[in-house]
Amino acid sequence: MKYTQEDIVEGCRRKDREYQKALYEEYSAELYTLCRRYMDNKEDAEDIFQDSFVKVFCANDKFVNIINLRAWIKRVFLNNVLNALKLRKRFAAVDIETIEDDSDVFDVDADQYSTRDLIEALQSLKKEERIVFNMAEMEDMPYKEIEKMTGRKATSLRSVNMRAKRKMRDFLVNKKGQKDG
Amino acid sequence: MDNYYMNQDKDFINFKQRLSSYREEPDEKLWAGIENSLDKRNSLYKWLSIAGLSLIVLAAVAIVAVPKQEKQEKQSVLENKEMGILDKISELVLPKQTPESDLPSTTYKEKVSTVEQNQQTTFVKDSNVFVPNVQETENLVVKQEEENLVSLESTESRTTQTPTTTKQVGEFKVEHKNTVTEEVETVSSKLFIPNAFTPTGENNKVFMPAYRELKSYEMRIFARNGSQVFVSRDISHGWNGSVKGGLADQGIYVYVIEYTDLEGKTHKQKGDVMLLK
Repeated sequence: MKYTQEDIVEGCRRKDREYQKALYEEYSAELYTLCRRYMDNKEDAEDIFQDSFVKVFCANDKFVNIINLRAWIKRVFLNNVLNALKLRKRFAAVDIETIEDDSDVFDVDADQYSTRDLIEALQSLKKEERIVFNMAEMEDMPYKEIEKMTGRKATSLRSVNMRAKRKMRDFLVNKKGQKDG
Repeated sequence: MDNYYMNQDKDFINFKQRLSSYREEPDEKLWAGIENSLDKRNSLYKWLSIAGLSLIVLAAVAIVAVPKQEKQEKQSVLENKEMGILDKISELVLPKQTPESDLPSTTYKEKVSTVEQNQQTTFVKDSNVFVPNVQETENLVVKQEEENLVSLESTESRTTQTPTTTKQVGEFKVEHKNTVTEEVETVSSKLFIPNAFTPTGENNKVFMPAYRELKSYEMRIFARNGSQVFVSRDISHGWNGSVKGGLADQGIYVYVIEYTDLEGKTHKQKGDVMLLK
């Protein structure tokens, strides 16, 4: 990293293109991956990725006293992505079956799979399942917060997350079977 | 069993870590796109700021323009206030009206002239200090005269009553003097006008001012609804209470008399008269 976090924050506050580029290079991969996890396809992910970066760079008045630049910028991206997904509207329309059996059955060893397989497992989920899984597991958001954003009860969301885990486990087990067979 | 669940967690934690440590590099063209929209935004902001500036200028012009009007209004309010203070001062200095004011104008005149003589000494003494003020107040009193002649009529009598009171309060001497000069003018030129008449009675059947030699004269009488009921250009020709053939209703009627005295000064006298049946 060429610049310190303070340099980048100060440079972005001044809207200095050099520091904006430095910020982009530092975090673009992580943030792009975040967008990809939520969006169905590459184009949507790219759109929201660009849009979020423009928002970050235009919020120059907020580039003051940023203690953890990475956490802050990630939060901006996540909020932007979740807004674009229109969670309330989306989750109001889906039926959620509560899973009676809440035992965790994720028993596959990820090390036996390529990263590509793992991503494919995630991509195999339904959109709502993927969103809940990402929010609850990848972002470690508390269920109460997800409840607020989606308008669905935490118990229902837990069920959705559970089903997502099982689906991915099944996907990976199947994948293994295919390879072995 | 515990061990089984532990393994489960372990597997899942591993899966999570693998997923979150995965990085996908964005296409290189994306930065160009971001730069492009940032530049576009900047130019948009430039236009917006120009528009904003022009708005601010317009607002500033409006702000500058409005207080001017307000100032003018304020000034007029101030004038009114001054007049109000003057009223109060004259009330303080001068005692209230007495029935003596009903005296005929001739005898009245004599009285006033004596008052004037009495006052002369103080007038001269104090005039050096307050000369500009006297001018101002005079003007204001004249204005007042135009607006409300009835009250001025009363000041007339006030001064004649107690010319001595003013001498006691040093500050108010000037005020008093001023009214005295006013007095001399009004008394000498003012017409005596009765405040009631009865067209159906035996006496006092016609409304007209006390006779005086004048160069020109015009009296107009209005009903309370503002319609003109009578005009006369002859001081000896008064109103007998008739309106378009019939007799006017009992009530208050307003008169406006404009006349020029023998010295060539024009005067305007306004007031109301009661028509009794």
